[in-house]
Amino acid sequence: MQTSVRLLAAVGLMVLIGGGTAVAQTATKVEPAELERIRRSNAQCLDCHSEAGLQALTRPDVDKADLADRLVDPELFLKSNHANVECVACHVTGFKEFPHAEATKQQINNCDECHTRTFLRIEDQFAKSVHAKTAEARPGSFTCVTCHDPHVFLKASHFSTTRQAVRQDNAMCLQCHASGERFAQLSKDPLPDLQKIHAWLPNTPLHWAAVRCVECHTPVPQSILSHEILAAERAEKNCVACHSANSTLRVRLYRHLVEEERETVGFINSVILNEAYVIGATRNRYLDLAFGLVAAVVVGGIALHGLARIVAGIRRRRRNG
Amino acid sequence: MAERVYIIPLWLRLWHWTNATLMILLMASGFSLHFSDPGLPLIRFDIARTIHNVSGIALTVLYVAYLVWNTVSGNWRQYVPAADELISGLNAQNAYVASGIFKGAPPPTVPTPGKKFNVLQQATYLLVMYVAMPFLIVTGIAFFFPEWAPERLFGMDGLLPLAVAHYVIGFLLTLFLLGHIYMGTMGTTAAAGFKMMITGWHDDHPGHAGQPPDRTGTPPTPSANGGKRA
Repeated sequence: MQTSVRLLAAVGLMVLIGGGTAVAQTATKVEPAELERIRRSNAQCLDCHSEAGLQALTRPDVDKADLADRLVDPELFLKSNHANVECVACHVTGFKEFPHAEATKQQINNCDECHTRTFLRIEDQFAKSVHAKTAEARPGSFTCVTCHDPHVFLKASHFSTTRQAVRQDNAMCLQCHASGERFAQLSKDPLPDLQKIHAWLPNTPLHWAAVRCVECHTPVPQSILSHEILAAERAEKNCVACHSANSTLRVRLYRHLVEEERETVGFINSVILNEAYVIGATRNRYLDLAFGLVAAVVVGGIALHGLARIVAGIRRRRRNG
Repeated sequence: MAERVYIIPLWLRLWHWTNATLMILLMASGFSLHFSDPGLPLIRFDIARTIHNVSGIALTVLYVAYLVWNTVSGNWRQYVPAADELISGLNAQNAYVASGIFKGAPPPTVPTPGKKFNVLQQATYLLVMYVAMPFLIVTGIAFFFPEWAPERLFGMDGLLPLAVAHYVIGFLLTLFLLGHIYMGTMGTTAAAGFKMMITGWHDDHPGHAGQPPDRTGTPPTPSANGGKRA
């Protein structure tokens, strides 16, 4: 299914289609009646384009093998960012009737029809990305949906825990970077062994479960994660970028949580304290301060005691002649 | 007349200095990891991590060896303060540190083969070696196997309370080290304690400040020190 979606989107990027519905910025503010209409409309599509729909399908004029490649998981879709978007908002022309109009069947709205502002921001970033070379080498091969499956994708900030966000976002990279077949479709280079090239990274499995690939494979942003994916040689290898009080994880992975926390509690460290433990970054400033004071008192006490002993010794020697 | 007494067997001295070296490496690297600052690194993070891990494993192995040696040789008895001496011994030690030492008084106790430690040392070393060290090691090992650590602990990420415990114990042991080194200068002479820990022999100066040292120790046990005297 993903392959076909990618192909559809690839063609879609080449064919400019007007008249897209600007839903991206308003997706979360749909009126109940409108939402009901969207859900009903989408249910019609899912009658066939879901696993259950395919199983129950009795129409003899449907190519079931072809349909099996074009299924959507309704459960994941309803949790995704596009849950409130009508299928035909993207799959625009010729999809309302069945059989779908053959000539227009592959026409699909570009992502930038709705995500215009995002595109303005990420265009330059993507142009500098390691993936831009792939996109240039094979025009149309690399599009938004190569990474972001629009039927599944959920923004990291919408997950209730960072671990879930990490799992989804890393799975996006692994679609190609853990599959020789998919990698070969986009790149002439051999698929690098992820374990081997990350051998320098201590506790590799833990890092992979706790942070996203893009934490290191994108430049540090001012406010939002960049689409400039960095190749290995430019990726972050400086441990203290994350393992320090000024951890870049604050402006990346924990950004949304930190913002929320800052509003309610006003203590920036507490989110990371509750969500994860990062050596060097996750520490209690009051404990550090208390220990610093105690250490200073002990060292000062020893120095004073030692000095007093020396002075007393000199006096004793003078007294004894 | 000076009397030389053999107090610290070779294995104990070797253990003591290896332990000390590892603890210093762990403190420096641990400090560096905890307060990691890109602009002001004491030890570069990745190097500090390797030092801390290797020293931590070595310390764990050494601690297990120490436990075995200490038990088999009977040296563990040296750590147990006698109940009847506890209060009076601590008072005598405190009085010495607070005033006696300034007047040139001799230490209230000097090491003998049968009783190497004064009561203050016994109480401290018992806490350090049998309470703090196991906690330090267990919380440290948890970092090698974070997947075994509890997912959540006290409503926080499971590793965090372990990390805080490791930090607190590491800090307390750092304070102990400072105190331990300084107390080492409070023997019959400022250098006597250090010399003893290197050679194994304690140089006794009975005529020091005109008072004979208190010899309340139990008779030497051959298993612990060989009972050599010179």
